Amino acid sequence: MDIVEKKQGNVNVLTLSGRLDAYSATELEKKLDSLIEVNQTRLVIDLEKLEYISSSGLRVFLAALKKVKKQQGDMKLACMKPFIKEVFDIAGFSQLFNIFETQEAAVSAFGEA
Amino acid sequence: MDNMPEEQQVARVTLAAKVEFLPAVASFVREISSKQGLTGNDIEQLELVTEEACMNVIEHAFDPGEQGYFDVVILRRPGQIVVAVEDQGLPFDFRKFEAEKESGLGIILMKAFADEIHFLNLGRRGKRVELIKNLPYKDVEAYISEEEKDRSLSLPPIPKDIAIAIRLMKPDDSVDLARCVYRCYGYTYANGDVYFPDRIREFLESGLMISHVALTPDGGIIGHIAIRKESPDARIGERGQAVVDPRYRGHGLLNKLISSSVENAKCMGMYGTYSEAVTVHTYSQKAAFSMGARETGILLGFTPATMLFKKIQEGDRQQRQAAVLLYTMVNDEPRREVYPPFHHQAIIRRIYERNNFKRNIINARDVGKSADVPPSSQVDISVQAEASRAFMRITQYGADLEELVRFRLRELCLRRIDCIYIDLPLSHPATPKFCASMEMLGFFFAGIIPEMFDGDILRLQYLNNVEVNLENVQIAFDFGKELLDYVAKARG
Repeated sequence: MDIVEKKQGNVNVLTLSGRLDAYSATELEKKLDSLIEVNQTRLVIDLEKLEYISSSGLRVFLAALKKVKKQQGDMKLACMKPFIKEVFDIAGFSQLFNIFETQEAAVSAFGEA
Repeated sequence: MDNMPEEQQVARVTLAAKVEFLPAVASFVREISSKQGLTGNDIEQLELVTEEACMNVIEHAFDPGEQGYFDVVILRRPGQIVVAVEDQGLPFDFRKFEAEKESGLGIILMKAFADEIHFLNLGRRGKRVELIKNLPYKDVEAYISEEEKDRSLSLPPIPKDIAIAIRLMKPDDSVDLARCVYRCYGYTYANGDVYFPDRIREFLESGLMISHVALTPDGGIIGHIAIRKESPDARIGERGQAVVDPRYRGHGLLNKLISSSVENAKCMGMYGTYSEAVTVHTYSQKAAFSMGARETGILLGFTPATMLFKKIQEGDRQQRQAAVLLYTMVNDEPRREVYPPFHHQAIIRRIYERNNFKRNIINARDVGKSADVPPSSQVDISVQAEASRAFMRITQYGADLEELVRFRLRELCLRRIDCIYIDLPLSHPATPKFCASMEMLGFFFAGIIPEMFDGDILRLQYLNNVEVNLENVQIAFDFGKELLDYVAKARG
């Protein structure tokens, strides 16, 4: 899995590509923790190029959401492929996260808050 | 006819139990399953369920610091592709599993994406989880004309003097059978396999299904009956999938089909066949009876509400319906010693006598030390999702049986499985002891199935919020009525 990071205003945008399985979940967890540690808690995760996710990936998202919310931040998700959306729906995660059609919509949602 | 084996191993890999090898497992599953005909989203779903099963092994099967290994096996079965994850680590610790809330997430996804999951204990060879995907075969819709789809067309009865032939079904008949079932039932037939001709073809080729069909003079299929077996050399099988084209009712077709099927089973040296006859009418019970079938139990709520009987009798069929468990002896079985629970001994004795089985009934109090069991139990589970039924089979009694079954039962109830059965081996001296503890969990007497797994089984049943209205239950003969009363009382 590849993680590309960029900053858009005061929002950190992470674009994930490839496969988020139990092995790569650790890598994403480290990346997210490193941002949260330095109070970068306004996060957008762009999933357009993410092909696959398993429960290990879901757990990393859930743990990060809990941490950013504790610090009054948020983590918004964008551009899910049908398989990823299906996994989120079945796990009941679609209600937990704010999910947007485009990266821009997710980023601008922070401005409105 | 046998040109498809019942099971064929396509590939096997052994890996160290480390997370870093999971991407390799995923590519392995992806490459092989697509070569076997799996397509699209089904491949990603199979990758996911495999990863979840591997993670359970990596996280739970070995002690900290122990370097464990596990196998991923890909198998082809009739109509299905199977990924089996095997390990020889610690026995499955369901208590730990239950305590860790988050591991539930993996299980939820596995259940959503696999068509079937089997948890198997292999004794000294460890344990195995089988993840099953049905191959995306075309269903009957692809084979029928628009005219045939118009179910409002009324079909006039056919004169009784027409010559009808009965013969063994060939794999090439499977499209014609699917059309026949569609004509009779639309899409409401409970056993969904019949709508997938290629699935039926593979079952026939593998010897797991032996069918007879009834044909018109011009070769059209108008009736069917099958025997399904656990393995091609199984000595008993389940007789079912009885279908008779409504235009040919009154021709005695069902009797002729059952008779051919029984004759064939006899020639093959089978001990017998069991079946579950519906109770919305008594036609199939009477037909089975005339071929020597006798009652061995009552399964409340066995038949799903979706199984309509439109062509036989209109009426409110929203509830699940009871079925009569029947056994047809076709060859003499060996004499066996059985250990029925004391409180069910009288009815079990009556069932044996009525069927003239050769059984030595041993009293629970004479069992003594032989009822001692090891610490862990082994229970295999199979689920028929379409019919909302699950079957638990005890392959080894252990001291933890009650706890294990309670855990599995709760899982199945959360999945909203309506009817859950547990089969206890009657030739095991510990059965009297464990039967009572299963009844404390809410199971109650259903009946017996002779020779089911190298000996008779005592079947108990559990209803998960299923309404049972016994007024509509139609039972053809007195002993069946007696069994129904017994089962209703046992339910409490």
